[in-house]
Amino acid sequence: MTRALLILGGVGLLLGVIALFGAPGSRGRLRGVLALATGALLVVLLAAPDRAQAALTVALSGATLAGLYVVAQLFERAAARKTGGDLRLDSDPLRRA
Amino acid sequence: MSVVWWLTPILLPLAVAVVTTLRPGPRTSWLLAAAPVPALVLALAGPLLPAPALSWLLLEPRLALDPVGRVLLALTAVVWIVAGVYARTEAEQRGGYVEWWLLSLSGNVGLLLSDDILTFYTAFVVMTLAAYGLVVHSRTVEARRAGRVYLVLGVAGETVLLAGLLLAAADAPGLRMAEVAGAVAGSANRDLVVALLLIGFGIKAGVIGLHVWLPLAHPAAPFAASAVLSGAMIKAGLVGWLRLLPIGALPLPGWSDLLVVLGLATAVVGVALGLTQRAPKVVLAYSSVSQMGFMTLLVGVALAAPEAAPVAVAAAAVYALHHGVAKAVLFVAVGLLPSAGGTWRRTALLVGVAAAGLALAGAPLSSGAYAKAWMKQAIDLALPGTSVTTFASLAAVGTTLLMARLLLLLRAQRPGAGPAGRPTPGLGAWLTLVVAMATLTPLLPPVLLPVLATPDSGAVVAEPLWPLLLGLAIAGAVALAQRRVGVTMPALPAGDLVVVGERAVAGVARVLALLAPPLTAALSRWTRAVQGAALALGRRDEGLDRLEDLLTRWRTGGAMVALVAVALVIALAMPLL
Amino acid sequence: MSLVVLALPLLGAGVVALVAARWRSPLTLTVLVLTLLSGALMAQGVGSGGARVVTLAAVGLPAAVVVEDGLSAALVLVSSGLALATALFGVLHRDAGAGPPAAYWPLSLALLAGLHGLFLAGDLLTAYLWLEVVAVAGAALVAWRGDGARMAAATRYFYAELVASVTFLAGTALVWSATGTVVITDLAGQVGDSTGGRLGLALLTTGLLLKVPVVPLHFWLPAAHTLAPSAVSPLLSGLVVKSAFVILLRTWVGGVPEVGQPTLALLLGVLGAVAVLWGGLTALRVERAKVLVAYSTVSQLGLLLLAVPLAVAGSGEAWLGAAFHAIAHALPKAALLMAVALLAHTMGGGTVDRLTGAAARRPVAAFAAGLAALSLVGLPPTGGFVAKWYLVVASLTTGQWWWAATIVAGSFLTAAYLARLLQRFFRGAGRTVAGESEPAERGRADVVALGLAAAGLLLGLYPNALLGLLDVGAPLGVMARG
Repeated sequence: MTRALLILGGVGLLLGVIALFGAPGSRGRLRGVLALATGALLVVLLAAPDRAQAALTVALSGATLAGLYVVAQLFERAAARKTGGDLRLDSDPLRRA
Repeated sequence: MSVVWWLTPILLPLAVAVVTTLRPGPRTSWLLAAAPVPALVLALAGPLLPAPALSWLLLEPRLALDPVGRVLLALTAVVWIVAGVYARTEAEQRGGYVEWWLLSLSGNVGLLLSDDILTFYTAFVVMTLAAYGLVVHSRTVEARRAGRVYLVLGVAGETVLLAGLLLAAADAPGLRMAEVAGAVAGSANRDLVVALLLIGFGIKAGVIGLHVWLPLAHPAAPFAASAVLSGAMIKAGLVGWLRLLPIGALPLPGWSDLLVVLGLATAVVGVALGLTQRAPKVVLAYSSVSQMGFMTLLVGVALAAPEAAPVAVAAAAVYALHHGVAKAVLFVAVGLLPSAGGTWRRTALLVGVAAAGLALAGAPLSSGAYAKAWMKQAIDLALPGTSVTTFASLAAVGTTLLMARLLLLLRAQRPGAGPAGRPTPGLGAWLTLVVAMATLTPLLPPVLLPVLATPDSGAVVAEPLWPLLLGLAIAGAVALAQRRVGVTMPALPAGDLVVVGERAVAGVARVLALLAPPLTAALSRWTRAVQGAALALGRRDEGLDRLEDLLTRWRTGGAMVALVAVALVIALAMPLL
Repeated sequence: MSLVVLALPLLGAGVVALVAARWRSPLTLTVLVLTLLSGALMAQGVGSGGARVVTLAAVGLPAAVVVEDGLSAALVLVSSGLALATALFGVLHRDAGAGPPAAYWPLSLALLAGLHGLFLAGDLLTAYLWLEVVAVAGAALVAWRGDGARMAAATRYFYAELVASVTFLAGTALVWSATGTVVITDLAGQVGDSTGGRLGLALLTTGLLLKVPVVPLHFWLPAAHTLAPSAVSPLLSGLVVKSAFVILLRTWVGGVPEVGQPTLALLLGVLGAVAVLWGGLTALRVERAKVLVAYSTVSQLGLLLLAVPLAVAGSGEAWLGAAFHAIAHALPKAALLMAVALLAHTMGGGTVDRLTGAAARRPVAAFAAGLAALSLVGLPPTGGFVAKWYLVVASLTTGQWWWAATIVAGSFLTAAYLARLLQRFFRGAGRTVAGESEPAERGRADVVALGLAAAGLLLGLYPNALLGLLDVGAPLGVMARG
């Protein structure tokens, strides 16, 4: 059971990376962030050695991961405002600029 | 506090160089004579000022000064101060001189104060390279040629020296001079290291065969620079030998014999070659070669028997002191003579030259008599019952001849007024140097170097008499023969062997010129090939750009994250498999 | 003192964010000066009193560990100084008529707090939290008031940091479950053959390598560092990149060197060597001066990574060289970035060609750039030389001479691409497009750059104080032995 959940967490991480780097637009990337955060949270939950520590650690990392998601949303929004549309990350901004 | 006393002798010349560069002219040129004064102070105050630890400096240079070092430092300072007085007029004429002068001074003092091989080597190199500027100062054809030969041999010597030092340091527990010298004694490469050190420093000391640059370079420089080159800087080779050879650690009979023979040969051949010269400064340069032979001999004596080493080392330092001051007196006098108008000035200078010549020949009660007496003490201690002392006395006969020749050449020189508009430099500093010549060598060593027993009156009065009289008799006979029969000295070009070398180089150049057309054709083919390769690389550049474009793409980034993660997992899992 | 250097910038960030805009810059400078003083006190305490480990027990959480050793003290001191210098630069130099935006002040303080947290962190969970702070503050500093390209660069930067943080967290959790601890020094001998522990180490190292970053994970760096405002990029290139490296060094050298032998060490070394060469080669070809400097950072970070296999092999010189390089690179790199910004401002453009003759127009800044370049190349007597000296000695004493060859090759590349820049600066008289020469310009900001470059030189002239400090509490002491 634990091992299965751990693998699920790993799959979440992998999917997150694929979505974050592979998606064409901001919506896909944010989903990727969500998958990453969930996967990491699962791993933390299952890996914590004892229950009392697990609860607080999960709470703490959950909070920070949620914070990261919010900041990611802020970035996407601000970028959309500046670029006047969906932000594309494909090529290096240096080479485009 | 002692840091100031120890660093000023090295750094003051550099500071003066900055000042005189910014404000050239008579108002600052007196600083040339002031720059070596801290070195003299340190030499005299020596033990009162303990050597500072400079651990806060990069590479932690170490400084030290033993009694032998103090004698040599005193000599160096005195010669540089007096020469500095006479360098002023030269310095005011053409730029660049002052800077080379002061840099050489800093290097010369630095190598005497240094106690680790890094600092020593750095100072040695600085001195050698900076002195090139002094040699070529007049920019004449001869000076340039002398400079070329000087530079080639100087750099070759430094390369050999560096190889020797690196080999020696490899076995040493630290970089201090004593540690390195100790390591040489026990090194598996002992003979190789000793050979490298002998050649590396031998070039500077003008050992016969390696001396060819010296009769060219020393006279090519302005006379004040000749004085410091022959009086002070030439001793750097001796200092290197005394500090880095395994003297006093174990007897090295083979090397000792070689050095003794080489020293005597240098003393004799130097005189013989000098006698064929016409220019007074060249005669003086050959005399320096010959005199360095005696110091080489003493290094050989020190290597012969460890128990005699302290006496031999002290005697070598004293001989350096005696020769350095006397040679500086001679070079300055020879430099001042052409512009000495008045009869009494001329007479004073000629008398001074005669006195210095007598001192070099070891006339009774002169500084030479004392130096030679101590030299014989060392020889008797280390090599008793050999004929080395006799040979040394015979070489002294040669010195007498050479000095007589010098006086005759100078007397025959037509006195001329100095160039218009230039004040003739005063004789005050030179006279001080003459006094120093007469007093320093008899008085200083017993104070600083107690290993030297005060010679009895026979050793300084009676013994030196016969080589001198014999020399004078031969000189008189030759002079008589010249006048009556018209025999003349054969004239050899200055730099003797260099001429052979230069002819050989010219020959090789001619052969190369014959080979040139096919070579240039091949060369241009290669050049085209290289250019083609560069162009191809330029095209590849676009390839590199494209690769970097690819690497900075967002999706590639993701793929690389996965790739690195997988690589790390494999790397960490590998030991488990 | 360690808690003070953490709390001051963190609380300062909160207070500065609340006050009116015109009070922000003076208040920030005050906080930075106080932080610098506390950093100096801490360094002095560590230097005289030795290393100390502070454990903050918290209910229900693994204890947070703060390591006050020579490495953290030196890095805290240098980062406080560099942050102060950069803030001064921000006040004195106005990029386009305006100074840094109001948000710059609290964000830079928060960034500094995060950096100090990372330098002092002794356990992986605390490190994770501070990595978050650095990621958010750093990316926000790049993004603030930016145009489209800058926004894109900041977003990429942020996402890269995010992925790295999450990977690091997952790795930490796995290591924790395998060993029962997150305190780095307690990990020694605990990981052993456990699959979970090794997987965790691989994951957290991936995260750190992405944060450092090392080629081929450097995709986000050139754009973020180049497009960042001139009062931000010195912080990013000088300090932020070093923070993740410190955790990497502590984990693999102070923590679990036995696990890294020999494959992982070799892999890290190869990645470092590739970074040294690739960064250098790319810097040789780019057009814009600031991009050149960014790739120089990529190259120099590779040098840091090269030290890991050597230190893992037990060479104390490698640890010392890496720590020294982390500091000796920060000061001249920041100076070079400031100088390039000033020169580009004067010359009206930042391409290498455009900067031709810039030295005549802005001599102080050009001189600062030249001085910084000496240190970056590693010529004696600069700090860069001391660092490379120790690294070369380390690679020769451990018998891994190929790293020494890479270091030397990297120095030649550095000399080549920086010479490309400096040659232009000092070529020809400074002429405008119209052809008439203009008077030389200088400002107080030039002095800041010059001061940092001179500090890099001083590190080389008086390396012993820093070397002695770095050796306090080092896992592989050198100086105490010798």
